[in-house]
Formats: sequence, C-alpha cells, structure tokens
Amino acid sequence: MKNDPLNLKNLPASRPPDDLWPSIAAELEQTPKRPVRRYLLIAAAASLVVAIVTTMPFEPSDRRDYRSDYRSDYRGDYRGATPAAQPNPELQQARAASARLEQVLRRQRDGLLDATSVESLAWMEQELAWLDMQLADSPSDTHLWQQRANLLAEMAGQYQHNNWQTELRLASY
Amino acid sequence: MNKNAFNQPLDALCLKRLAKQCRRTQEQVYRMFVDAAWTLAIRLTGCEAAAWDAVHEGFVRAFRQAGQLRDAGAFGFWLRRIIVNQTLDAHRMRGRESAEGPPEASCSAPDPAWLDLESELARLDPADRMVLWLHDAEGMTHDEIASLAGMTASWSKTRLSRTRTRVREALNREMLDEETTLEPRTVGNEK
Repeated sequence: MKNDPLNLKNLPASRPPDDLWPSIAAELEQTPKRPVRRYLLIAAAASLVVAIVTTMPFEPSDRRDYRSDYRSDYRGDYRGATPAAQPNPELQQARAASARLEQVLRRQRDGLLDATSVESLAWMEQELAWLDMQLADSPSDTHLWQQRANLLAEMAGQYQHNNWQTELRLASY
Repeated sequence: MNKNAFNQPLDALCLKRLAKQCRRTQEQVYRMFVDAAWTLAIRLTGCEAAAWDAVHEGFVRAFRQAGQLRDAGAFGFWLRRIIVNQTLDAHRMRGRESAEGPPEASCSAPDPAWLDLESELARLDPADRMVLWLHDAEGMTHDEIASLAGMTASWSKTRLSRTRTRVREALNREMLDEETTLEPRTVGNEK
C-alpha cells in the first residue's frame, strides 16, 4: 500500500482547537452532581443493610442438613439412595468451592463498602438466600451447588474490588 | 501503535473516577483521546464546525454516561462509537435541513500538501466517506461499521469497494493531468 494514492493513514493529523476542552468542561459543570445530603442518606441506608446482613447468621438454618445429607450420601441411606451410590465428584467439588468461598467472604464482609456496591451485593445476598432455599429441597443438586459457588465467587470479587483502600484512594480525588 | 489511538486502555480506578464525575480525570482522559477523536470527526464530517460539535457532544456524553461502562479497557472504542453516531446523526439532520432550506456554507480548506486526497474525500457522499475512513484508517470491520450505520455488512463491503475505486480513479486522473501539463514545459526547458 506504500504507493497507493489512497493511503488514508498517511494523511496529516489534525490538531483539535485549544478551546475545545474549556467548552466541554463548562458543559459538564452544568451536570447536576448528587447532593451530599442524599449521598449521606444512601450511605447510611447502605451501612444499615450491611450491618443487618453481616449480623444475620450466614449459614442457612438447614445447612447442617445439607452436610448430614452429604455424609449420608456416603452411607447410602440418603433419601432412599441405594447403598451402592457413588459420590458425585462434581457435586463434591462445588460444595468444597462453596465452603472455601464462604470462608473468604466471612473475612471480606468486615470491610467498608460504597453505596453502589452495597446495592448490588444486597441483590446477590438475596439470590444466595433463594439458592439456599432451593438447596434445602434438593441438597444433592450439583447444578444448584455450582450456581452457589459461582455466586459466592462473584460476591468475593465484588468485595475485593470495593475494598476500603480503593475507596480511600477515590476519596482523595 | 499510535499513542493517540482509541485503543489506549483506561484502568478500572480511572473509570470509577470518571463515573464519579472527577473533573481532573475527565481532563486527563480527554487529553488521551482528543487527537484521535478530532481526526476521526474531521475526516468523517470534512468540516471543522461539524467536527467540533461531534467531539464536544461525544466527550460530554461519554463522561456523563461513564458509570454505565463495565469494561474500562473499552472506553476508547466506546467513545469512538459515540462520536461516529454523533456524526451520523448530524449528517441525517443536515440532510433534512438542506432539503428544506439553503445549502450550508462550505467548511475549512484542506491542507494543500494533501489537497488531492483531501478534496476527493470531501467530495464523497458522507456514508461512503464514513465507510472508507472507518475501514481503511480506523481498522473497523464491516460488521462493526454495519452495526453503527444500521445496515448490513454487505452494504459496507459494496460501499467500500465502490468508493475505493472511485477515489483511486479520480486521483490517478489528476496525476495524469498534472503529468501532461508539466510535460511540454519540461521539453521546452530542455530545448
């Protein structure tokens, strides 16, 4: 394409006018920022949600049932399972991942969060509660356990992403 | 890699600051992308006033809606998309206005060193110019161009091929004309 007369990339670059940024900045100044009072209200509400969520017993009341059911799988006496029933490795893996991520989350829940993260995490907590309800009915459902592990991983990522150090750095701007 | 191109990635923290409407970050991001944005707008519109509108509105929209963007690395491409949409909207609006009223005043003169190519580009239909520039200079695919223009990929391919041929023929014709006008003078000088 060296000798191609239609070599657009070789056209000279055009410099933008110097007064373009001041004009954009002036337009952006007109964007109403969130009033501080409203922000504080949201933050207070968010803190309350976090406090409720973190003080709630995290393990679902029927968790012990899952584990006993899980153990009973091996004994072969779970809900009419045949004594020869073999443990499902995928189910084992999902349960183990779930337990591991819960440990991580337990530590992460002590950190500070911004209001927007709290909102999405509150949704995730709801989804988690819903999954736990489903698991109460089907404790050996591999797909549900995998969904639970995925959700916990997403929550752990969210907490990690919004840790207090990030917020502190943001506050300095 | 062109340091002023749209493919310069932002980091997640920078995107967060943009979402919080941090003016200092906005200015830094503006400085990162303004050359690419301006070149794109001036080539698509062929007019400084229209390019100003497209870039101005493009940055304002991108900064106001930065909170909606998930992938910080895609900011440049997102901005490019907004600016192209701005120019497309402006073309459509101007098309309606010119049908109703007098034609708009011509835009600034192109750089004399690149007069031929620039004036050929300026002569093109806005849609042809957009397809040619987005594909050959910005490196966009036919699918991307088609999705921006609300058309099909084959529409983009046909336009590109036809436009390339037309511009090449015009440029070659001009080169031949220049050679034939210069030739007798050279012969005369030799004598």
